[in-house]
Amino acid sequence: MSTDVRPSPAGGLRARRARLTARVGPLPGSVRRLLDNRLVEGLTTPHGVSRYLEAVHPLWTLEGGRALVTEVYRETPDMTTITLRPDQSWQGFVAGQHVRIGVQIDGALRTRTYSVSSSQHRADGHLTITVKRKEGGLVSGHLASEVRPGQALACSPATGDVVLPDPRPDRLVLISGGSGITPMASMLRTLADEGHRGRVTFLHYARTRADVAFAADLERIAERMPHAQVVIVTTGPGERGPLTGRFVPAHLHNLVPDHLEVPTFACGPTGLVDAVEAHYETLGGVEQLQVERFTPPVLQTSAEPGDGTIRFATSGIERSDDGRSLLEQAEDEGLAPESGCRMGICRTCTQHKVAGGTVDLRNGRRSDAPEEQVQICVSVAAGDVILDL
Amino acid sequence: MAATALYDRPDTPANATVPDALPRGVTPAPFRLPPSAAHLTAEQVEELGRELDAIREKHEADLGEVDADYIRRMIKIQKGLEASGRALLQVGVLPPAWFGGVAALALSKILDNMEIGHNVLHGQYDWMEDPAIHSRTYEWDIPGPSEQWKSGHNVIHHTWTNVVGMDRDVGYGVLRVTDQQPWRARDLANPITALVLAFIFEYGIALHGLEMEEMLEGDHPLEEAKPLAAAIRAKAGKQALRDYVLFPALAGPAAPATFAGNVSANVVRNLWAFTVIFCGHFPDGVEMFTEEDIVDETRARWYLRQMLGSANLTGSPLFHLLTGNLSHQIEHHLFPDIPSRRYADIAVEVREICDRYGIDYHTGPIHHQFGTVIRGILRLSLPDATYKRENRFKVRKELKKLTAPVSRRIDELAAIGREGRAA
Ligand code: FES
Repeated sequence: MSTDVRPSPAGGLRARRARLTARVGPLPGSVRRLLDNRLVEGLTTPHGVSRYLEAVHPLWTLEGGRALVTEVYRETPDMTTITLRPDQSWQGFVAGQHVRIGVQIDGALRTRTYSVSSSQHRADGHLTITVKRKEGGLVSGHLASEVRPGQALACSPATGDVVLPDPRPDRLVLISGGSGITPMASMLRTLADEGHRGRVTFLHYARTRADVAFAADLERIAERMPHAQVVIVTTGPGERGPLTGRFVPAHLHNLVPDHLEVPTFACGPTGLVDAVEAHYETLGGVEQLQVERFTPPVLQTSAEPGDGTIRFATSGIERSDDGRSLLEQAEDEGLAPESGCRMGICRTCTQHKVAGGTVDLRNGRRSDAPEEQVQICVSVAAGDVILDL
Repeated sequence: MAATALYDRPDTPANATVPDALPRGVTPAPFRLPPSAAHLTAEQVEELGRELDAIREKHEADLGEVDADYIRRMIKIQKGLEASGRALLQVGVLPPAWFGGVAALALSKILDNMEIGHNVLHGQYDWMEDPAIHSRTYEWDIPGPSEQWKSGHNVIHHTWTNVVGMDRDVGYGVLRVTDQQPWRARDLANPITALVLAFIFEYGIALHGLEMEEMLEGDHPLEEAKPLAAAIRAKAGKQALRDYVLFPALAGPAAPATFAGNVSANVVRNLWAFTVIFCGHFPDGVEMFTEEDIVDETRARWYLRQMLGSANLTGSPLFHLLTGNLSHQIEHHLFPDIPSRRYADIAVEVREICDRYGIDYHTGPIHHQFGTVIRGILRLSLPDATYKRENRFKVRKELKKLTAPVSRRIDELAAIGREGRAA
């Protein structure tokens, strides 16, 4: 059911170079050790040897943090799986963890977090992420349709605490919705590769079956495992099947009557996760439950400065916006962000905006996307904003 | 209409004398426009500012793939030139290899400093969010640490451009480049200082970050300079080790040739950078400002000061590239963080604006502009030579006026005498 998104055209220098690049891996450890010494550092100061090597191949850096796209598959009309060959900095991951992926769009590096969807035990050491194209989503849209094998992406080490427990529990309930399927798929695939014999119940909610990435693959895996079960619950109107409609506790009562005593993972849109959490809370099984919400907390963006909240994430300070520049308000809170000209020309004051809306006073331009840099001396908040300060 | 300052700035005379919000009914003191823009009304100046803002906005909104590809290509070319230059200099005993090596390495350093380093450190590519091309993290191939350079250049020079006494780049604390700097005996050495500076320009820039002048005058405690000096020593040491020890040592018997080649490449880059940079603010016609000129300065008047205080160079696209597009000094000073590859296009618009508002747009070929720079440096080494010449002229005129009645009287008396004799 998976198809190659767009096979590179046979000809074309670019395509040929991309194919060649895709075949070459990161520098072998021996070469890296050879290059990683004081002499080479002295010869290549101030840029460092990596800046010369990366001109030859994008994975050839000593510091690492990149991955090469080796394959692109479209799972469903709006979900795409990208296989990545990470460089030497990759330390592996535990099923359930996520990575920050950076891709250049219109010249600018955009970074988003994606769960790993492949098994921890993949023989070739590659990993996959599965990206759901979001309505108006800049990065997801680009990853889903523009990325080609041979292209390098930025790839962080894996992080995240909601992971498959070790040692593996005898019984496990996995509940996911929408793109929340990706960490669950990684967990199930990992267990299958381990020959896991425990009981695993995987409940996935989707509008229709056609919306479910790797449905057939997961079912095949479950068949191979002695006590695993994959249940797809369709929530779309007019859908039929053993279970339909949004999550209700009855779904769990039917499949796993004693689920309140079983380690349970829930991942997906806030509505689903909230409902599962409420259920475990009221019936007293909440210590078994681990959740991850995929919809970010709702930030109010507003047209008018002065009516939102500014959160300085690093220092944990929150204040209500008074409409002055972010720099002045940070200083009011006793923070000392760097600044220079205070009129928007030197860029000393640039800070990382985690999320929220800001307006550049010089031209009235808004910045609403997450993970952007703002010059805080000439920027005011437009609604809620979170700064890395 | 009198404009009020848009942004508060730290430690400025503007802040000291002008309160943030004036009480109702009090009109702020009228500001002084530079003589060459004195024909503009305050409203016209603000309109000019809005037009320039619009240009900025247009180009900011348009940033994208082409700009990213451009700077990445430049970096690739620079790396290629550097690698081939250094490789050729390893066998520098052969004259063609030596000359080729010096040329490639000097070009690489010129690109690294002028089109890549200077522009990247201005934050022109910060929007790419690539740590390898970001003003926060970038380091370039000169002895001074980029951190120090950014505060001296991006903050001080670009904010206080050509304000004598505030912009430390007016003469770099060692040269007299304008009549507005009072003459001191040491200025007799102006030409020699300039010549020496041209050869060791990279070290001049590094030491400039120390604010030695301020230290000597006691404005700056010595203690503060210590960590700065240590940082310069560390970076300059690494650079010197690379060019003057490691690469020559690797060349074995060709070491002297490699050493000489590296010295030459650095000197070529220094001379070129000096020439281009001095053509930016010190040719004839470029205006300097006083601290009163910037009291209550608005963004629009800041723009005006940038235009009047900078000068361009004319030339081919390759020439512009080799100057790091500082040949578009005016556009660079108006929009220091817009990618330099756009300055040529912006220049057309800025020039049209200047024509329309009747503002001087200083530009010319490099030999002419640099000629006036040299003439200025020579002239200013002597105490107020120009003033004297002008004054002599003025004094003669004034004297003539004063003596006119007397001479008329004498003429009359003489005429009477002549008539008497004739009679
Ligand atoms: S302080 Fe200079 S740009 Fe903000």
